[in-house]
Amino acid sequence: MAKLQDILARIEHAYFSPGKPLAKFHPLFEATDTFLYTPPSVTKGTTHVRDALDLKRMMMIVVIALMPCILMAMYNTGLQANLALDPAKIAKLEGWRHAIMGAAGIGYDPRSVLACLFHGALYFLPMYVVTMAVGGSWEVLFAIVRKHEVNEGFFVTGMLFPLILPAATPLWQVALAISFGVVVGKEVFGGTGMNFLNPALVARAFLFFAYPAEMSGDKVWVAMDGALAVDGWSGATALGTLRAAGENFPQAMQGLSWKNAFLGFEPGSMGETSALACLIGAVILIVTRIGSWRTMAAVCIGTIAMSLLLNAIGSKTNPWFAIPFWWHMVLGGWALGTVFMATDPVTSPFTDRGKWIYGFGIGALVVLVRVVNPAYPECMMLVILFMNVMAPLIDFPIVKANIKRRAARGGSHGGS
Amino acid sequence: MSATTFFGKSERKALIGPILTNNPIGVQVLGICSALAVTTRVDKALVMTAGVLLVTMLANVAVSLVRNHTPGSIRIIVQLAIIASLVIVFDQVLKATLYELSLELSVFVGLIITNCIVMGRAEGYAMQNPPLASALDGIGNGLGYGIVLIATAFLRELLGAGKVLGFTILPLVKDGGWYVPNGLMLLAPSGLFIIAGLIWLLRTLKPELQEKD
Amino acid sequence: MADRESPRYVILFATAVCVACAFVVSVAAVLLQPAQKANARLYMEKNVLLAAALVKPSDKVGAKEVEAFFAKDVKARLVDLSTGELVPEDKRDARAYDQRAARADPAASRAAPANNAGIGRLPNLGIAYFVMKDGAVDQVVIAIEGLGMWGTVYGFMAIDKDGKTIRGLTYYDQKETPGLGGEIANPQWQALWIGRHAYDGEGLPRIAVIKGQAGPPDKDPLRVDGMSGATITSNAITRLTQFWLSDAGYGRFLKRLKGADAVKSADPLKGTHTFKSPEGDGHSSPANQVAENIHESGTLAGHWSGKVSVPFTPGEGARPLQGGVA
Repeated sequence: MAKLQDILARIEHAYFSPGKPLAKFHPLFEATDTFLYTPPSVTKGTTHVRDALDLKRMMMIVVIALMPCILMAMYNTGLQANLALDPAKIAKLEGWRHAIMGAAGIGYDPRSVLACLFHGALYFLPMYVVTMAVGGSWEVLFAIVRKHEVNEGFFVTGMLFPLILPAATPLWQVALAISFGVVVGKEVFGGTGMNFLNPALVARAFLFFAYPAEMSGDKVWVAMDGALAVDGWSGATALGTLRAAGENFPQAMQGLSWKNAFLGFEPGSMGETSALACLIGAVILIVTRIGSWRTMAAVCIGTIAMSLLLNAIGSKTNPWFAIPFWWHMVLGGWALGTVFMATDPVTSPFTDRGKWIYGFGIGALVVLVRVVNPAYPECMMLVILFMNVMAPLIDFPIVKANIKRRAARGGSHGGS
Repeated sequence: MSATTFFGKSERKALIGPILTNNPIGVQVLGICSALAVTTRVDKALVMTAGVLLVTMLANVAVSLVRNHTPGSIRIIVQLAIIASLVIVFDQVLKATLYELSLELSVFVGLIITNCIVMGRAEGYAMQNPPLASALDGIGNGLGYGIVLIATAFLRELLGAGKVLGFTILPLVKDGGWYVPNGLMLLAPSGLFIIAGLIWLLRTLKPELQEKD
Repeated sequence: MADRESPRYVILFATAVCVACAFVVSVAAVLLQPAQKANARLYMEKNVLLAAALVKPSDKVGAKEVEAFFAKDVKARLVDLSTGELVPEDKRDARAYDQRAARADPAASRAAPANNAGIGRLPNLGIAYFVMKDGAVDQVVIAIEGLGMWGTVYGFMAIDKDGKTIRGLTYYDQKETPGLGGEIANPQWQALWIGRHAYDGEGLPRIAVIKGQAGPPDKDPLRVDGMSGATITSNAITRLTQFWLSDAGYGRFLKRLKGADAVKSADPLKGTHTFKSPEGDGHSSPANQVAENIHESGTLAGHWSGKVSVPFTPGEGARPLQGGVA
């Protein structure tokens, strides 16, 4: 291992150090170097915190916590597509994905875990690659222009973004959206740590508003051409089905299975369908103290409180009022948003009390918008973005109050 | 001042300055609100530009003409009365000539009254300068506003609908072409993104505009 | 100028500025008002012509073109919505009628019956434009409106002389989401309505915007393709269209059209009246004579069946339509 370190040091000296030909691209070298080894830089001056956990290790734990969601994303994407596919029309499938499927000889059996995983991976992985390549290029570009190191924050953004995309999103839209998310959601504010909006959600919201006809409705959630689907198949999400049901809401509700929604065997954005996978991720994040348990708990409380309130109010014309909270928690992007989006340390409040208010706001608003506003059943991302904007406002009075209290405690001693 | 030359240095500065180096939107960040709403199509931006240009110019001239007779205690109200009257007249003319555009624009034309550029030029320039220079300053600021507006509208109409001034440039998928229109461009936030991008670009190209912390 | 800040001077100056400004604004308003009113009417009537497919969206339609149509082929009339009868023409100038203003006027409107189209008040009179072809009525254009997703949607719908088949549609004032519900203003989507039926076999207004694609008009006459991603606007359009086609809206009026149509086929030998076949092969009466008939006839049966002999007299409107005679 020491040998590799040695080689790296020599490469740095020969090409990337100031004055050498590739000096401009030092951020790229640095990124590779610190990915493999502990950063060589040490703190200077008198005050510093010693912690084995740097930003890089923290991000790696988030990626590990995301693994169940990623596996479910691939499996369920394949499962939904295979379920939709009319076996009689397999021969009509076109495109490079199906060329690979054919060459691999795995088939389209929805009962085969391998076939589903493989089919789903052909949708998830290209989106992931495009996200990392395009988004990463922007990161590197800004790092070079601004002369700072490439930040690891993008590993998590790049992992989350495909998870909140519908399976049938075209790759060029993925590239466009992540460009927007990284540049407008993050870099214009100064890069990782300075952004007040979650870049993955900004990118997703961009797609939602830019290509609304394609990004909503029931054609986008399952990667299967409707013409090749079995008769009577609908690719709508659970929330979409309920919204479209209108007066037939009770029957539509009966058609759904809570167990399926909890496990995630239903159409939706790739990584959001399984509440169980998100729950596993939540446990990892809370045990390692990477994700704030306060925020997650507060979202749950907000959801439960608002649901109970709306249940109690009731409505003769709007059956959504009666949806119980345990349904809200397994539908749409609730679970993924609560565990991985709301807890983003940069865009949520920094104070503990602020996190309670922030989380409660997300939980309450998402239920309110789902129930009352017919336009946005899949509103979790918009609600989190909204509360992101509110986060500094939530922190501000709390910090002010703390300062005041300390000043009062210090009293005439002129506390420091 | 330029008592000898009719079109002296200060007049040229009044006219040219606001177009780029002292652009009201790009540098002073004024008049943003209407710029978001009226930039979905180039024709709307053109009409709005004409409105702001005419109102700023005429208000400047009027304010400048009475500047030596205006009591300081009511000068803002006087400026406001002049601007409001001009805006109402422009709106009436619009309704009488370009009716279909006025249906979409009337609300925003009315808001020219509160457009910071108009008020700012009347108070900041016309109160101290003679009518001709004030008129040129009004035209310059109107043009500076208009350039940003039209550039934004050009991008929004092109990317959002594949057209410029109603003529198809990028044939849309639904009409058998290849371009998938970007619906975000038709919503107000995209105006902010584009204008913010322009301001960013301007400040990067002219670092002297950046404030020092 | 030491006295510039004296109260007397300030008040005088303020008064002078106010008077000058008021003068400028008043003059502009008075001078321009006729042109504005003409523009407003021109815009509405242009949309009527669009709905009736007399002009294309790409055509340049100015006052001259519109006047030419209204002088010859298009005739505005007012309909009493509660009975479906025409208001005699000499009583009111239909082209000057402002339905939106009437709706807001308590004397000219009433509370709408319970509906889900977001319509609170209903004008007593509704406008209807008769479109003539070769001297006979070819289609009528009715005004529709109602709550969309973000605001009230206003439009015109052209119905064939059979009182059932939709001939065209426009929405001239709407605030739906651009690219989604805003597609209702897209002529391509509006064209999907043409040839479909406003009413089902039992005469109930059943035309609906569905989710997904409808079949061709001849096979699937009661359904229109939905706009993708715009279920709410689609449903709103269904509700408001069905409201105006129902008896609360123009339903009674349109039934009279149909009734008049039935006269032709079911009772062609009634008395001395001349009847025209729907195909128009029996053009017995001169074109201008039938057109003239609209001026005079209080009931639809009169001109609809080509009958020229019954001038309007007040009180006759309520009589049965069959043949127009008691």
